[in-house]
Amino acid sequence: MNRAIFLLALVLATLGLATCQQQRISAARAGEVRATQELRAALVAHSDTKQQLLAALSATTVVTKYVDRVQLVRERGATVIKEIPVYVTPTADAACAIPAGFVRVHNAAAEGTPLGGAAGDADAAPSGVALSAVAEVTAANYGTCHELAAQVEGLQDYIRGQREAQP
Amino acid sequence: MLTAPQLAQIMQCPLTRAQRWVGPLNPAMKRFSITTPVRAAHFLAQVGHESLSLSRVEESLSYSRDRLLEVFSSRVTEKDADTYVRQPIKLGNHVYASRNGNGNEASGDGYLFRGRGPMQHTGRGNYRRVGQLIGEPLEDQPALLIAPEVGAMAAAAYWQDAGLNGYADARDVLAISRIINLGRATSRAIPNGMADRTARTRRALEALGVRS
Repeated sequence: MNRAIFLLALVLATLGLATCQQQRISAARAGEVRATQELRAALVAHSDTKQQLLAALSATTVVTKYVDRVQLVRERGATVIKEIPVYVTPTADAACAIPAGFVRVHNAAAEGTPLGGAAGDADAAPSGVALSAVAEVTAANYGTCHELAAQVEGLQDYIRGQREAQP
Repeated sequence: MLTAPQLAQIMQCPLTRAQRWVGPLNPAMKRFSITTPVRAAHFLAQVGHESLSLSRVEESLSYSRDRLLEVFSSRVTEKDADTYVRQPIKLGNHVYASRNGNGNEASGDGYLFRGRGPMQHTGRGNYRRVGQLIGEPLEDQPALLIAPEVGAMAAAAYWQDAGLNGYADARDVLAISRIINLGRATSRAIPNGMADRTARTRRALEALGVRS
């Protein structure tokens, strides 16, 4: 009898221990799943941060490159303008009367506006604008054109860099 | 501090004229931050161009046919030009109508607010703005601008208000000329008298000891 009671107690104890162990295993597995999920999230976050960092580095490089390029273009333009009196002298100014029609055409083209009014005798008359002034304005307008081109190229580089940085 | 001989050299004008103007110009330039030789040179060069070396402080608008077409080619057609020859009131009211705060041609604003002062301010709106800046009733009494004390102050006030000190620091004569003559720095057209403005700036920089 006592033996039977002992055996029953042993079986119950074994069952109890097994259940307890099973719970511990389940808890450990759940912990493992949670840890795996957290690891995956961390890896994704790491990847995002890396992409952001690369994008920021790329943007900085583009901005630096663009600022340098614009500065260079601006300096080149300023140097050309500074040299105008040497190349287009007062003698050249005196020798070349710029007609009013030329100024009309230049200004319309430069401003992107239509030529107002019909051409007439007044267009053949001297405009009073000196050749050196035409050189200065033309050089400055080309300078602005190059500057804007450099800005657009900078923006295009930036957009390209952003696209490439995307996963 | 600008001296009369320096001003005479910059303007290429008689010393007596420079002596008359140096008094009003110095406090005006000081008040509106035209306080470096580079800024002063650019300011005086433009003032010199606009006022024909401080000899003209009121726009006459009495032009020959050729001169009229040269100055106002975009606003007066060859066909109509004869109507405005030696007709300053008619011409002023026509070419300055509905611009710079002026009313239409019939309002008479164009001639009333014609170019005055060493910077040749035009238009009711500009007279009002500059008047506010210097505390003078220029819109009600436009002729006040003819007095050198008021004109010099108005010219310097306009200069600072239009941001021209910054362009002077960058030595951008073209942008300054475009703002003064064409109304905006972003214009790509040739400002009137560009070569003269450039030559005057170069001379003023030299007279004030600025190395190019």
